[in-house]
Amino acid sequence: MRFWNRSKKRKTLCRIMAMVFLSCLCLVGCTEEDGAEEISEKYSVSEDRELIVYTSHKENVYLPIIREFEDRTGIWVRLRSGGTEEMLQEARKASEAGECDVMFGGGVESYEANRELFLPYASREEGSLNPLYRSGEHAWTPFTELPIVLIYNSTLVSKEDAPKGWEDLFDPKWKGQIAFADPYRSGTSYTIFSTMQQVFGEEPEVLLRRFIAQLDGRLLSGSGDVKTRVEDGSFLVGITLEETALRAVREGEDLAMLYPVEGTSAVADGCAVVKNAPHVRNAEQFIDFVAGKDTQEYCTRQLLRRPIRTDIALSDSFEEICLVPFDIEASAAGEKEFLDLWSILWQED
Amino acid sequence: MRWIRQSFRRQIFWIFLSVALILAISGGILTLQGYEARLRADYVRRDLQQAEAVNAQVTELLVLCRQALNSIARNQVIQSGIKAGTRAPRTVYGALYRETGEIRDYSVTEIYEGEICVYATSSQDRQRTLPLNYAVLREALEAGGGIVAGQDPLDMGESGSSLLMARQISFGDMPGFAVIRIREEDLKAWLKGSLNAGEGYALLDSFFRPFCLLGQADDMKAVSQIRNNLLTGEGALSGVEEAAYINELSDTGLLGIYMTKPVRESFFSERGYQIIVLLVVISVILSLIASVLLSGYFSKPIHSLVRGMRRLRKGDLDVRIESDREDEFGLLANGFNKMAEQLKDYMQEQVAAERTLNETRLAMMQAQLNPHFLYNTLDTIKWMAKLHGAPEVGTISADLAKILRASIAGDRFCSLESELELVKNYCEIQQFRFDDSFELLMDVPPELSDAQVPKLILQPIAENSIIHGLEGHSNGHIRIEARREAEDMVIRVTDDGNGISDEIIEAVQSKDPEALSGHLGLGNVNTILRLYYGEKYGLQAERPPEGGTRMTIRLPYTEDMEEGKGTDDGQNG
Repeated sequence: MRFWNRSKKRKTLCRIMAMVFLSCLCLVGCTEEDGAEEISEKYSVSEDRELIVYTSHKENVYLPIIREFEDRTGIWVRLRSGGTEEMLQEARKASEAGECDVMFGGGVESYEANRELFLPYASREEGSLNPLYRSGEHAWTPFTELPIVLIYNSTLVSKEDAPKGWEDLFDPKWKGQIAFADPYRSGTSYTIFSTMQQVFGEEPEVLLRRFIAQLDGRLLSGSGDVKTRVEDGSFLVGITLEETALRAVREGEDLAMLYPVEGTSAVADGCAVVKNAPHVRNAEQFIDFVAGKDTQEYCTRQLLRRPIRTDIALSDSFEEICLVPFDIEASAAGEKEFLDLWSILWQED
Repeated sequence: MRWIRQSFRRQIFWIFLSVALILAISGGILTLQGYEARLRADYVRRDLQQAEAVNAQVTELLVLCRQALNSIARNQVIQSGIKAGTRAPRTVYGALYRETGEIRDYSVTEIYEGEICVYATSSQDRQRTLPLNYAVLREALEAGGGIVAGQDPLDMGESGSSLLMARQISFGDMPGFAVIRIREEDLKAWLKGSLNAGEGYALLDSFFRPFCLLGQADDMKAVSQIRNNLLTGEGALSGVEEAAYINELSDTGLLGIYMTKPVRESFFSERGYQIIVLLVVISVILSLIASVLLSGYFSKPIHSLVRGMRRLRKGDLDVRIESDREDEFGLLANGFNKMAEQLKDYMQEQVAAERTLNETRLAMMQAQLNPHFLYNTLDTIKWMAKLHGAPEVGTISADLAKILRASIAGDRFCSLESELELVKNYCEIQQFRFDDSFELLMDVPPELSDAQVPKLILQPIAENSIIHGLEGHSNGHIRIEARREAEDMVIRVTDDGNGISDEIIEAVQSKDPEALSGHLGLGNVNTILRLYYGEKYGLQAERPPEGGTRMTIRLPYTEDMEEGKGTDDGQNG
């Protein structure tokens, strides 16, 4: 009965057991459903037909453009969407791992501030673009122009009484009636302040004190609220982007829009190829498509965004605007200082 | 492993357990797998049928829409209705309703002049516009009379929106289009009754972007996963929780994914594995019982064999194993018994042969020196001593002669009387030597005089008393007594000397002759007694409480000692 110390027999036994278990396991594996391989093969996307886009646009803006791009080029787009700051941070991380091709959306001052994140690319459409929005080293390409406008509730405020420009906003009758979003939550708020500052040419602190006093302690938590709260009468006037205002007017809400008489700024939003992009060719194709005539025309007519191209005819909705010279780089540089100042002065108030 | 190897029972248990477990586990898993595979195949077949049915239904709607678009394109009334300035709404609507009769409950048909919707079968859709250079109308324009499917860019969502089928129907400066809009709820209504609870359906374009997501597919999870899989080059369905079946919808360029709850394999597996665990437990218990029973059956004869073997090793040649079995164990027990018997015979032969050899050797020695010459010489010395007036010398030589004669006589037994005479002679000689320092006393009843004892059995004991016991004593006594005790005779030799040491008492008691190497005489006495009469008899030493030494010889009483009683088989000299 010296069964167990005969290694040969033991090995044989082990082999038999292993074979039994293996054959059991083999039966577990075969489960792939019929037909799925065929579909997988036919529709699988090769690396050169792929593009990864990080966007901070809303779905109604990015989706038709991306789908049209897919339809026209046959390239499959992988999307990530979120807030501008969040997406820039994500894109930075993804860039290190080589997992992001294009950043789409967000003001060009953010692109300017993150210039080292992007791969310079001079779009083929460069010649048709408004020279006002040309990036110095082609780090980014503008997408649409977003002028800042004033809105007022047209049922509560008559056209005559409505403020005509920036200076009118400081009229005591609008004290506590201006819809304005927390600058910590909305990038547009800083752009608005920056515009006012460049219009008035005042010291930031002096202007900010004045402005905060005029807000009278009422602040909105996001730029999306400006339109809604003016529309529902919580505020009488508001400061927002032309695109938002135009669409609200088109949808027939009780709002009216006007361009400040002193002039306004129009910061563009942009798009850019991210450094270390795995699909550079496709990314460049995407930039060209976004700056291309069809997309620009579509944005102008359907999204009511002001085109960045010079060859697009504006519809009646858009009025001629008087732009103040706006220094993007200076604006981008002053943002942090403004936010610090804001938090101090807001607390004081 | 070592622990198992040490016990027969554990080995049997282990083997049984292994076999039972292999059978239970592999058998169980195989059965389970087979059952599951069968079940899965059934489900898959059923799902495929259902998927086919749903796809066919969706395709039917698409075909109807295509037919409607084509007939609208051919309809002169509608054609003319697009031309600016010549609109006659009522007749155009009449024609439009006629052409779309079959599908009107499940779709909205819109007629576009350029970007602007001019007619629609649903009033709320009349305000719509569609860009000419973007999305579905651009494609229709490029297709030039072909039918395209796309989405409304102004009503678009990641999780789908309406499916727009469009065809260019007029080719003037301002192109005209017919667009059929199928919304999610339209498709749901069309498929009403075909999709059960727990099932889902997704209508996608070739980029796997959804138009409509119904039922289970509504959360977009599976569709996103499939699209992601295609992007990463994995199998389309890997990681999809639902059982999904992707099909192309004939030549429309669209895809349908039918989804249903996956087969609840886990339920069957769980039950199945519970059964396997139960089988394993039963196997363990059965193996335990079987090993106990079987090992008892096997190990009992083996244990008795082991016990027998142990006794045999200790020298018990009479050991035998009782076994009434007729199998190999019976044979083994028989073999053992025979072996023990043969061993005993062999040992006896060995002893006899040894004795013969010893006697031959003695005979040879005796032959070398003629003892009669010594005896006659001693006799001459005795007479010469008397003649020359030295009676002590005479006495010594007479005693010596007697001892010599007795020792060389061929008989191995003599009467107790002559043995005592011999001791007396010996003591006389020693009294001369030790200057009468001791006295020999005898207390032997006359009826024991004829008892037969082995020759020269008392002399070594007396010698031991004189040389060791009475050493240094000037007035010692040696007392020899003989008594009959039932069948035995007991002879005691007592002295009042130094007393025997414990060491020697022990050595005398032990049966090992080597132990008495310093007292060869005593050892010989003991060996002779045991050899002649058996283990029961022999010499015993003790220290009586009053001091001195007592040696006791025990031997069977006999008056008629035939040569070779028990063990003797011959004679010599």
